[in-house]
Parts: sequence; structure tokens; C-alpha cells
Amino acid sequence: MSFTDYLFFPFLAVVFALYYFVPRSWRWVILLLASLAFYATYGIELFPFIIFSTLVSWLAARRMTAIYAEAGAQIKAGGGRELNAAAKKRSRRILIVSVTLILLALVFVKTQRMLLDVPVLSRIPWFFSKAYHRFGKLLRRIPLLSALLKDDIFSDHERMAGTVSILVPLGISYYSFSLIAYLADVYWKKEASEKNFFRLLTFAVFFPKILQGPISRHKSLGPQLAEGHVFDHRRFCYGLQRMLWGFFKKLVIADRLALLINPVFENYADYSGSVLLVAAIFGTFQMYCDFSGCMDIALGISEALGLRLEENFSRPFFSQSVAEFWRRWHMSLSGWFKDYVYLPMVISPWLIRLSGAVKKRWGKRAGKAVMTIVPTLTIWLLTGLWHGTGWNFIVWGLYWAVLMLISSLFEPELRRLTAFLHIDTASKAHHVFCVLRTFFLYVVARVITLSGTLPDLAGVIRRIFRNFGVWCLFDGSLYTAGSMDRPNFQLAVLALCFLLWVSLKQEKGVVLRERIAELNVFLRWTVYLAGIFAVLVFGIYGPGYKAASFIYMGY
Amino acid sequence: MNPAEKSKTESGGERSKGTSVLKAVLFILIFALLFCGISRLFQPVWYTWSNYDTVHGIYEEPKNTIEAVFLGPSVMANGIIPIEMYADHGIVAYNMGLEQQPTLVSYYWLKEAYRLHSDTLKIAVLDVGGLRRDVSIAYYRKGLDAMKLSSAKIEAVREYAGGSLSDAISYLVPLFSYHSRWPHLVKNDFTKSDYVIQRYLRGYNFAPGILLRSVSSPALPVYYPELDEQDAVFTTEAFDYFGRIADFCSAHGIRLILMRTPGQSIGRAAYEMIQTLADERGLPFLDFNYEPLLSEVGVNFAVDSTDSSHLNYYGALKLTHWFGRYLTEECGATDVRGKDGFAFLEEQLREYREKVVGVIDLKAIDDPAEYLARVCSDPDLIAFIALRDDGAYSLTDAQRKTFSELGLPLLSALSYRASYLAVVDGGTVLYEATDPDPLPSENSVELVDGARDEPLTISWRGMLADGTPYSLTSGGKNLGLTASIRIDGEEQACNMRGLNIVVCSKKTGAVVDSSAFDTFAYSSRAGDSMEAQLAAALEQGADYKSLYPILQNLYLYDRKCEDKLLALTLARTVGEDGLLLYLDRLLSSEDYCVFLSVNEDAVGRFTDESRAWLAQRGLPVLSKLKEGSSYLAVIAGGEVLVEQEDAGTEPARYEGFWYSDRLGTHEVTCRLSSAGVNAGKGASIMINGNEYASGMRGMNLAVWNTVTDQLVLKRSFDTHAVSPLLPSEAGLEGNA
Repeated sequence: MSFTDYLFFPFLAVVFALYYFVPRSWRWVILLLASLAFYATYGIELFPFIIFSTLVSWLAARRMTAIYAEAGAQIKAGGGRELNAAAKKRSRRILIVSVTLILLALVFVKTQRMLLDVPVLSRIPWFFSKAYHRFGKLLRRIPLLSALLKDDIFSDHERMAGTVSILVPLGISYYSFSLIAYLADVYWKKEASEKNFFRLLTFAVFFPKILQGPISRHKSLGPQLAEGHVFDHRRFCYGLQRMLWGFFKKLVIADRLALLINPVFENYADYSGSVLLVAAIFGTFQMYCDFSGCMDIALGISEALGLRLEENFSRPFFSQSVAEFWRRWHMSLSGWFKDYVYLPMVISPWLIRLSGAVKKRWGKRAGKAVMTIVPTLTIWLLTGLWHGTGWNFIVWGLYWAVLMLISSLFEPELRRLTAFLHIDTASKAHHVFCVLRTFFLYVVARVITLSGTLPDLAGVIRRIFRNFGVWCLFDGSLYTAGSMDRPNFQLAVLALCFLLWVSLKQEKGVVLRERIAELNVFLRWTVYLAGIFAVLVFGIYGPGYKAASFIYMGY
Repeated sequence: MNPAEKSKTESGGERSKGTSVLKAVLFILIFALLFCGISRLFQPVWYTWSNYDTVHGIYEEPKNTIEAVFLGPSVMANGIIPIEMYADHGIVAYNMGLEQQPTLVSYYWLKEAYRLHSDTLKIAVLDVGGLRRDVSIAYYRKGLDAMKLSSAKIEAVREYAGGSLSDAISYLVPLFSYHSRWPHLVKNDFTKSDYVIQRYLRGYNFAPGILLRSVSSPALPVYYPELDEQDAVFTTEAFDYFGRIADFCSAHGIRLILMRTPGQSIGRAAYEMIQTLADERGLPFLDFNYEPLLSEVGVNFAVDSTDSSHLNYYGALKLTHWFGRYLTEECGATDVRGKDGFAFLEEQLREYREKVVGVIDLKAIDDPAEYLARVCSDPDLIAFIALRDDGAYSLTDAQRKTFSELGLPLLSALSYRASYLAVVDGGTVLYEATDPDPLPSENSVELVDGARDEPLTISWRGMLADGTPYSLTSGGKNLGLTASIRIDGEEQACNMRGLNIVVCSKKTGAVVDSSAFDTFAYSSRAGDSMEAQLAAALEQGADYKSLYPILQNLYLYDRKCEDKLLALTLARTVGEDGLLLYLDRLLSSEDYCVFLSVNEDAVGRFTDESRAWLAQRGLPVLSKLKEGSSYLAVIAGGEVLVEQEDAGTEPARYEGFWYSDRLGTHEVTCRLSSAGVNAGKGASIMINGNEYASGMRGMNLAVWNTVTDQLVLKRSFDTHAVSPLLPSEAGLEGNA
């Protein structure tokens, strides 16, 4: 059950009703049950993964807390400060083991298809596949559960003989990262460990964020989940409004643009470079509307429940540099990498030693460069791999790393060049130029991911440069590229203009929903109803056209 | 806070809470109303193939009145006129046939019909043509969208949604399925609430614009089941639902009849499969594509079919009459005429006669003056006239006089090759204009655009009483050569030479008829009742070549049908010993040219009686033919033109030609040769360069129809080995 599934709405209505109906202290239980039910719609065979990771995190965090508490008690009782260091050392071991286990599950899931091609390692997916089948056989004996099993995965092993079941647990990248952050925070004593396993499970499996994030921090969300909020009419309405805006972005814009983008890139050889370029530009908007639309839905649901999830987007296309772009795009992932990879790396003794050695040999600037290059390359390579295991994702990660490094390492030269060219960096024109430049750099990155494979990427680039076919922008063929048609193309452009207008207002600090709330009831309801029916009428969904899966659901 | 303030705050809070709830309820109500309205807007309407009338009309029928329901694809929707069944036999029937109706849809409509008419529904007739179709989801939607929400509909939707709950929800909520129609909304979507269901049609698809005229080159009937390429493509789903239909009928005391409407043969394998199914369940299976039912019903595809697959009104009338009799005599259908509770059928019948039979009568009129007089006499009708090329050359004085009496002086005085336009509203001439040809003499110079300052054609624009715009354009031979009558932007004129007339109903705005009278070539036309016109003309002794081309074609088509039926019947009933039976049947026809040629030997088993019979039928040489001799003969119209025998070593040969009866100067050539055992064996019958002899031992025979200029049949008889039967012995004399 996706957010765009019809059944999701009655499900959500029941969750809202039950949540506000039960006593406050039990509300987190409703969230847990609702999240498990939501997760179960993707197949209960996926449960072992999330339960394993949560259990590992819970046990590890409890153990680390116990170690720290024990050390604290001993220090209080007169023990030396070295006890603290010993406790940290013991906790680090626990941290490493638990994070390794969580990452192993994640890496296994991400690479199981690739493992099949490696002679020695191919036994691993086979082993797990057999285990799934046995597990499935066991579950089939339970009457109620058997109905929830996905037939294609848990069918008889005999029937499936010769095939390997590949399971991709929903949201594994998101909950794994959230749990790792939780373990690190407990290790760093930034927060106390959760005593109740089921509360930690609620945090891991919380249904609004399980599909595409955000990668929540336990110290922020955990207490909110446990709190049990009272019903607030305004907050509830705001939540619904945000959901509606999310559906608009997803169904009206993103899925409409997908009509053109997906078929064009799948058959890029049939299209001229100009069409491919337009498709790539649309592809950036599609990605943004799809992902941020889902975030709006997730944040809207949470808001209606009285919870506040982390924002994941902050109008990234107004960014003036790639660094700023990544501070405004998928913020929870960037923040995670910054807090749990980048910062630990830059303060790690081995990197400091390496930097010192380089500095000694090649000078101060080179030493500083090492401190930038190594963590930047690492986090962007990891970010690339987080998005996918194909070579094009590695290229994608390197692409961003190179851009980041250029802007950071050559900042003095760039500044001098700007001064030499007498460019007024405070002018509006320069601002617009920087925004467009950043946007264009993202378009290039989108071409890398849209192409699928490196040979296709080369093919796409070749067509853009060799067969641009500028006339395709004027002879009407652009309107009908892929599965698009002229009315849908025009509507997509209109909707993008509306999105731009809203974003500009937001960028100027206007809170539109508060402005709407100030309107009289007639106008306010007109706006709400217009929004609802705009999604119902202009959304791409229903039979004959399946709403495209959320792009970031695969991660 | 003191207690008074606290109480005030609490009451204020409760009031605010109450207001919020009230607002929420009101908002949801407004949303629901809008949702229903927009859903209705997006729900497509299918007026074509009578879909809208059929699926909505059944709910307009009083409950527990329908006794027989007809189910199946479009051929069924076009094949049965239930109100005619009532008029003739008093049977209350409803035609639930729908375009490409899947068997699943047939089943659920049967269930729905039973839900509404459980006390009276006794007969269900299913056209089995739908069993072979694997149709797109669109036809499921067309069939079931309008069904009212019931357990049957939910069950149906779940079935065709293929188990997907999301799809099932989409199918039940029109907005979810059809919201993507937003760029394609048309006038009908906004005016569908004004549409008045044509209840009198009772599910029959009456579309005068396309369904009345005969097809230009109709296929000949197959008469008997033949193997075809489309055999054995019955779908599993169709068979499943066929079984469910049969079970449902059996469980509810409904008599199920399987049928196949005249049109497209389903092929022998499929036919036999259905027959087996029918036999297993004890059901009657009536296939009207084959003998004897085809002849019993009397359907003639040249005039009774619209496209070789679907019956037009005349064909449907024939089938309905047959079925009415069948249901009454074989199924004991009730005659409800005059019974209480069925008066509404009289009202429907009256409306049917006014709206359908009136149109049919109009289409049958062959004289343009009479046609216009009829239109002018009906205050509900408005006629638009536009002339193309020339419409004056063959107008008679009587016709011109009638036009004058109708208040159309310009038409009455119409000049050669002039353009002409007129609008006549219920007998009142609203507009009339003509533009004489500037080159009235036999000048070969043609005018071209730009030769005159003003446009060559004449045009007129106006508006119907309901605001519908129309425009007319006429161009005579040298004035644009066109005729256009556009109503609400749609072209309705035939754009043929002569007078193009479009008749509209003022009440409904619908186009009642669009006709063309080629008054350049003929003073009248062949109306749509062509079969009757041809019969009348032939009865009066007219030569078919003097008739309108369309009637000539019909005559030739009839002859070809006769030939095919004769050939098939002889082939099915007569074996290797049937040479004399063939000759007996073929030699007597005036239009047949019979060619005979012997290969090796043809008289080895001839008896004295057979020789005597041949002598008696005017074939003396054959009657005395010696064993192993070469022999050939040509018999035209019963008269022996050539009869050659050669007992020597040389083959007998003949070459000849004749002028085609139909095509005048066209030559038909024939080359015959025969070689008996003595001459080295061999037989050839070549007509127009085509070989028709089979080359088998014995007598090779080919029959050519000199009227249709086509081969009737060819066959060989091994009368060297098999003794030919005398016609009297076979009991087939004069038969076939």
C-alpha cells in the first residue's frame, strides 16, 4: 500500500480516529500497530529484517547505556576517570559490532543480485532464499498470516526450485541509517537509550517515513512518538493541507512528467538531443516533485498526528552553489552523512596524521586539501552507493564530489577570477546566474541517473551533442514524445509555473497556508476544494495508468 | 479563574468544538456533492450502438414485465427489435446486446435482468459470437459502468478487475477511472442529463445514418459450416461464463437459447463445439448463418446487412419476425397485448412507429418530389437541400410542379448545372437560393477559382430553434462541384451528384435522414426498400439491365447466392454417381453454360437407362459414346451448342467465345479439349484463361453463369468406375 493507493485513505482515516480515540499513553501503540499493518501490506516476510536491525540496535544501545551507567556509578563511588575511557572502549566495540550487523543486512539486500554472479558468494543469496521458503512454509500454517504472504515469494520451495527469491525490505536504507544514528548518539551520550523495544520499533517502522524517509533522529522523533498528542484542529488541518500539496506535486506534476521522461530515456536512440535535454530538465523537476511530494505527505500525516518530522527539502532549486544545493536537498541524508561520517572523519586521528604528513611535504594548502578531499570523496562515494549499486551511481557520486572539491579547493582562484572579470557577486543577475548554473549542474547529474547504465549515458550525451535537432522544440514533436500529449504537456508546464510561484513566495518567507487560513470561509474552502479536485482530476492515477512508484522508495 | 469565567470558557470551547464539527460535516457534504457531480461529468456516455439507451433503458422498464432477454455482442443489438416482437406476438422482450459484449457482461446483465424481472423472465437468448472474443477492458466498462450498484455489479467488477482491489474501486468510482478525460470532454458530457432515453427501442440499435443502406460489395453467405482461420479461439473466460449463464438459467427456470445472428460465420470447428455444448446441456442452438435457418429467415446480405456482419433494420425485422414466431410456438411465450400493466408497451409501440417506421418509410421513397412533400407535411421536420454538379437534367414536369406547390419556385425552375440551396421548416420555406451556371452551353471551358470575384459556390448559415448552428454550401458543375450541409459543425450531406437532402427533427435535433437524389441521371432513385423494388420490377417483366445500378447489383448478387447455394447443395447431397443428377439440374437453366470434357473414359459404367436418359435430354453423342473415346460438349441455356466425339488418336478440341450478357461487348472465351484413352488421356476446360477441369478420370464438368459472368461450379465424375444414377432413382429430380 503506497500513499497513492486508494486503500491508504480509509487506512489513514482509521489511524487518525483510533489515535485520537485511545488514551494518550496508548497512542504510540496505535502508531506501532498502524505502522506494522502498513508494512505488512508489502509482505510480512519483510519483518525479519526490520525486527533484526531494531533488536540489534535496542540490545546494543541498552548495553552501552548499562556500561556507561556502571562506569558512572563506579566513578561516583570514587573510581578513576580512566573508567570512563574503558567504558567508551567497551561501548565502541558494541557500537562497531551492532553497526556492522545493521550494515551487513543493508549491504546484503543491496548487493544480493550482484552476489549471484560471483561464484563463491552466490551461495549466500541461495542460502537466504532457502531460509525464506522455510520461513514462508512455517508462516503458511498460520491461517491469518498466510493471507498476507506474497505468493510469488513464499510459494512452495519445490515450485520455486531453481530460482532465488530476492527480498528488498521496504525502507531498509532509511531505518538502517536512523538506527545507526541512534546507536552513535547513544555511544556519544547525546541521548539515552530507549528502554522499551516496541517503542524503538515504532520509531524504526513509523509508517509515514518508512517509504522514503526522512532519515529521522531518535532523539527528536522518539519522544514525540511516545508523547501521545492531543487533537489540535488547526494542526490537523495544516497536516491535511500539506498532504494535499504533496499529492499535487506527486500525482499532477511528477507522474505527468514521467509520461515523457521514462519512455524517452528508455528509448533515447529514437529521440533527438533537444528532446533528451528537455526530458532531463523535466527529470529534475520530476525527481524533486516526486521526492518532496512524498515528504510533504509524510510530514503532513505526522503533523495531523501532532508529530514533527525533519524537513527534507528547502526549495533546493534556488541554491546558488552545489554545496548549498545539498544543504537544501535530501537534508536528512546530507545531515546524516555530515554528522556520522564527515565530522567523525575530519576529527579522526589517522586523517589528522595524514594531513600533517602531507602538509610537511607539500605545504599548508595541500595538507588542508587532504582534510577536504578524503572525507568529501568518501561521503559522496557512499551517497552514490546509497542510491544504487550500479556504476552510474558511482559516477554520479564522483561527479558531485568533484564539483564540491572544485568549489571548495579552488575558492581563492574563483574569487580572484570573479574580481578580475569585474563580476558584481551581489547583483541580481549574478544571483540568477548562480541559481541557473546550480540547476544545470543538477540536470547533468539527473542525466547520469536517468540513463541507467554507463553505455546508455554515453549514448545520451552523444545524441545531445551530435543530434540536437533543435527543430523538435518547435515542430510539435516534443509535445508527443514518450507517452505525453499536448494537453498533458501544457498542463505540466502550467503546474510547474504554479510550483515556481509557490516556491518563490515561500522563499520570500510567505507562509501560504497561514495566508489561506486568514481568508474567509468561502474563499478558504474554495481553495481547499479546488486543490482537492485539481489532484483528483489532473492527477495521473487510476486504471490504465498506475501512479508511478515513488522514486526514492527503492532506496 | 473564577468558576463563572471557567464555565464561560468551557461553554465557549464546546461551542467552538461544535462549530468545528459542523464545519467539517458541511465541508464533507459539499465535497461529496461536488465529487458526485464531477464524477458524473467525467463518466463517458456512449450513444453509439444504442449503448446508453440499452443500459439505462432497462431500469426504466416497469419491474416484472420482461419475459425474454437477448444477450450478446453488437450483432445482437442490431439483430432483434423487441417492440416488433410485441407488435406481432405480444412478447415482452428486451435486447441487452451491447457492442463487443463479453460473456462476463452477458452473465451479469442476465442476473440484473432477473433481479428486476424475477417473476416474468423465462427466456434468455445468447448470441454465441461473443464466446470467441477476447475484448479489451473498455468493453467491460461500456457494458457494466451503467449497471446500478448491486451485489451483482460489485461481483462483476471484482471479476473483471482481475482481483485487484484498487482497480475494482476505480471501476466503481467513475472519477477515478475517467478523470484523465479532462482534455477530451465534449458537449455530450455536459448535456447528458438532458438526454431522453429512447425506451421504445428496448435495446435495439437503430441508427438510420449508417444502418439502412446495403453494403456495396456484400459477401456471399456461407450456407454451411466451413473451416476458417478463426476457429478455436473461444476464450476460457467466455466458456466459464457461458457455463455460469447456463447454470443460472437452469437454477431459475429460464429457458436458454443459443443463437448466432446472420452475419459472420463462426466456422465449423467453433460451430461444432457450440453444438456439442448445447447438446450436453440440452439447449437449442440456432445458427442463422447456415441452412436451413438462413433461408427460413430470408436474410439477404446485400440489402439486410450493413457491413456483412451486422443486420440493418430490414434484416433485423426478418430475424425478429422469425424469432417472435419461434418464441411463441416453441417456447410458449406469453401474449400480453391488452393485459393490465402492459399499456406502456402500446405507448412505446406508438412512439416506435412514429420515430422509426416513419424514418424507414421516408427512406423507401424513390421520388424526390414525393420525398420533399412528405417531409414538408411533418411540422416536426426541417429539411436542408444542397445541390451538387447538376440536379435539373432529369427532373420531370410533374416533379417541378410539385416543387412549385411546396413553395420552392427556384427548385421548380432549376436550370441545368445551377447551384441550389434551400431550408424548409415544417413546410415553410425559410431560405431558397440558386445561382445559374455561367456557362450554360456545352462549353468545354471550366471555371476555376479566381475567375470570378465572389466565391463560386453559394452558401447560407443559420441557426435551429435550439441554437444549433448550421451551414449549407452548393456548387453546380462549374460552380465548385460540391454539396455540404453541416449541422453543429458536423457534415451530414452525402455530397453526391444531384439533390442532397438532410432531414432533422426539431424536437430532438437528431438527423432523421440524409439522402441524395441523382436528378441529373434519373428522375427518381432506388429507395432503401430495394428488395421490394427489385421484386416489383422483375414481376412487371423489366430487364434487370434497365434498373438502377444498385438494383442491378442486387439482382446479380441474388443470382450469385442462388448459384452458390445450388453448388453447395449438390456437392453435399450428390456423390460420385451423380453426373446425371447434375446434368438434370443444370441443363434446364437458361443462364447456365455447361462444359463437359472426358478424360480417359467416361462411359465405362454407363447403363442403357443412363444412355437413354442422355439421349432424351438432347445429348445424342454422349448417349452413344464409345469407351475410351474423347468427348466434349458445350450446352448453353439448355441448348447443345457443341457435342464432339473422337474415337481416334487425336484429342477433341473446341474454341469459342460469346459476348457477356452483363458487360455487352466484353468477350468470354472458352477452350475445351478432351483426350480419351486412345488419344493419350487428358481434359481441359478453360474459360477466360482459367482452367476449371480437375484432370481426373471420367467426366469433367464446369458450369458458367452467363448473367453473373462467374463460374457456378466444377466437378468431375469417375463414370468409368461408378455407374451414374438416374435422377428418378436418387429421388432428387427437380430437387436442390
